[in-house]
Amino acid sequence: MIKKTLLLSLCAIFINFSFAAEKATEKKLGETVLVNVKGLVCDFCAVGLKKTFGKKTPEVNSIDVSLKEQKIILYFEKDKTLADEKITKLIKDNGYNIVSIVRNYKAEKSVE
Amino acid sequence: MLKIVLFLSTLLLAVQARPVSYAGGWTLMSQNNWESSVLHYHYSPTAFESFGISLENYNESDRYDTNLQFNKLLKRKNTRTSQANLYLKTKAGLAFEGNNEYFNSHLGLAADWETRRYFTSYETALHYSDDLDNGSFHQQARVGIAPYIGEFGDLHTWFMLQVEHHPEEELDSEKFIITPLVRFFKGAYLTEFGVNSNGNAMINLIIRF
Repeated sequence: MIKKTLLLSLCAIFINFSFAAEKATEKKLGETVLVNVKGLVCDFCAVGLKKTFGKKTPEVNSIDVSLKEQKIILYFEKDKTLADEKITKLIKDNGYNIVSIVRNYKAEKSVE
Repeated sequence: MLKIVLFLSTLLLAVQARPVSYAGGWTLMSQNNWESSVLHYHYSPTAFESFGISLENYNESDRYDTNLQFNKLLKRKNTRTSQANLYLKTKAGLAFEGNNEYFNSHLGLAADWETRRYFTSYETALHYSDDLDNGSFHQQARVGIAPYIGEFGDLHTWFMLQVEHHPEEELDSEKFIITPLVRFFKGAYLTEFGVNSNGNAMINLIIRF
């Protein structure tokens, strides 16, 4: 009986996660912007940028940071965006330098 | 007036990594070594300065230092593969020992340079307190290497060697102290474990909020 209950619970959790994942992928996002930067050397840098864009920019749905490639990918909400100047200011205010900003970037996969 | 002059002329550097966080970030630091245990909590209104409180208890006495702290990132140099920083660090407050209270202050400079593979840092420090005749000075350097390079979110591991110089210490074994240590770093969490040349343990922890 206990085994059955556990099995059913696990199935319910799995189904719930599956629906959640499907919903997330179905959610329509807006523009994707690649920002090449200088100075990202550790996780604290990445955490700071993620928190900054998470707190200060409701236009941004999510952000990926790659230390290896020194790049940030911003996934915007549908029909939302930020000007290059605003992106540059937010990143410079965090202590990093911008190399380039690429609009409408085709992100093949998450870099995290 | 003399205290202010002495405060401004003293130099100290506590053993800290990244004394300034991102804008709006809080940081909790705990340092425990042969000399003392320090709890430090600070807030960074911008990515270039932080304000906080610091509590320190010395191992071989009942002395407690309670300080307000201000750190400033004076200069940062970024490249595609590295980051270099120069920090100013200050603390001022009261020290308590038994029934005595002392004015207590620190002012220091720290520099570091790191890539994702290599790490170096140097810190110099002076500490002024009413119970110290001429203040005290110490300096410290570190080198480190990461045996593998991880991506953001991975568990990063560093092997480091720390050398401390405390010229006022009476024992030769405490004038120069060498501490091999290992650093584990993942996301907003950083911890370090080491044992120094006198057999004393070092445990540090940093959490960003």
